[in-house]
Amino acid sequence: MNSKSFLLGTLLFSLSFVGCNNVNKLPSVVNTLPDIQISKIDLNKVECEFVDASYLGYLQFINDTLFYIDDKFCTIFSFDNEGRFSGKHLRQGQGPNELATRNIVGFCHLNDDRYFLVGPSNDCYIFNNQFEKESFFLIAPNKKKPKVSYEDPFLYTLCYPKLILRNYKNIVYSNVFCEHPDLHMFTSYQRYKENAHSIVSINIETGERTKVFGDYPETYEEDNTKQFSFVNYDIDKEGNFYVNYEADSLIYVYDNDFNPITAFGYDGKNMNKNYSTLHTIRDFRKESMEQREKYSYFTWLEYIDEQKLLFRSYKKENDLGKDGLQIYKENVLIGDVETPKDFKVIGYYEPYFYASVPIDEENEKIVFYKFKL
Amino acid sequence: MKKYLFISMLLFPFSTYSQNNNKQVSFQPSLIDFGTIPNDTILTAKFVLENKTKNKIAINYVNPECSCTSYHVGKYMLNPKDTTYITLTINTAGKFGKQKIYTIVNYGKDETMKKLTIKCNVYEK
Repeated sequence: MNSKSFLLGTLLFSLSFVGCNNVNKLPSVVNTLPDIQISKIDLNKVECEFVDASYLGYLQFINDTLFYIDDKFCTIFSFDNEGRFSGKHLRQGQGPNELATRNIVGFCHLNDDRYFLVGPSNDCYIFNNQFEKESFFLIAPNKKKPKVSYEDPFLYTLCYPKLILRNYKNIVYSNVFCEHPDLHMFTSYQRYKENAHSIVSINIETGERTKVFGDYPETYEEDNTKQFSFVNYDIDKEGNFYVNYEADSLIYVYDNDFNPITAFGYDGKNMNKNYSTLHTIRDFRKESMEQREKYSYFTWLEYIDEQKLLFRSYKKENDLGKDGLQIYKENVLIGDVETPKDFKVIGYYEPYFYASVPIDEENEKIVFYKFKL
Repeated sequence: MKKYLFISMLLFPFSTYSQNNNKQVSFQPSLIDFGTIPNDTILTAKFVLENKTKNKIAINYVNPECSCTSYHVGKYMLNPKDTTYITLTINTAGKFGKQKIYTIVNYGKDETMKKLTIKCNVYEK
């Protein structure tokens, strides 16, 4: 074998390991130039009929029904797509149509038309589409002595401050963070952002957390991003994941085994990302909420299968009084529009897209928006 | 040294609200704003409930959402025209910034639910 062949062989041999090192890591960025066709959308504002509720909680849009999840009263109200009241479901209690929990922290519509709910103590409930209880379980604690590793799903906590539950087949996915005393982000942020994961899969038949995945991107090499470390994500009908981290301009796409496919994305307009560094837990607890009010970050991701569109909401600079919504079609940015504050696309029912804003607790109003593109 | 703040809200109006307007009992969603306070303050808020109906009403349970909140109920069964109180005590240690702390009260045969809200803005001394 001559020296040239040897060098070539060595090079090829080395390159063969590049793919292995990238397993379950971030996809490569393929950014196509934006093709902004949509710079404004006309919003139809719909106010829901009054209901006797706490006016705390959140909205979800499923098929052609708006659900208001009253997390404090443990009740779910349904409205049609014109805001007319259509049903009241569940309440606190031990009965077949009741929830034995304090709050509904998470709510997810399952692919087989059942509902999955989570309480504040990892307590999980499955209801059929008539809101009759089918099962209850606790997200399983690890019965063996846990190995202290970022790869152990039992060392992760559901991200209760901003819980996002998604479903594909009989697996529910949740965003998470690691709170283990030896592994959390304040022991070593450098180590955390290199090794920690952000999404866990839960087998709803067994209650077992089966796997963690999702890696923090390069944006998180900067020490000033701790207070923007939540993840936004969605799953399309083929089981592909779309993942975005609050401080990061990119959207990462993975297949259902979390193999990287591609990455794309741009920052929104008028985003102030001059974040301050919070060094200690004390600083974090004291200032993180203030920073989240002041600075810009990405707040929500929603993939609409029917239209093959990906919507990403973002927070503009606080004093502008508006937020932004990006629209991607086949990974190309086709729209960036101004929206009311905290606007999130939550569903589609022909011919409208549906979006929520925070419930008006003080005035006891539930409002949502419909729009066409 | 811990500071104690006490506010008493007397005689919640019986503004009768419910989807069924024939019901004569309402427990208004009540909000008390303690303003800006240092973070070692113990807050105490007293709410008075009056039964203006012609029936007895039971307070079924009181459910604070935060482990920082304890409560005391004067009495759990109210005769017609009777009053009682619910006192909430909140320890603000470890809290920073704007806070909204909720407690849910469940009462009556229909298990009506109402929320009590305490607001404050906590700064570090």
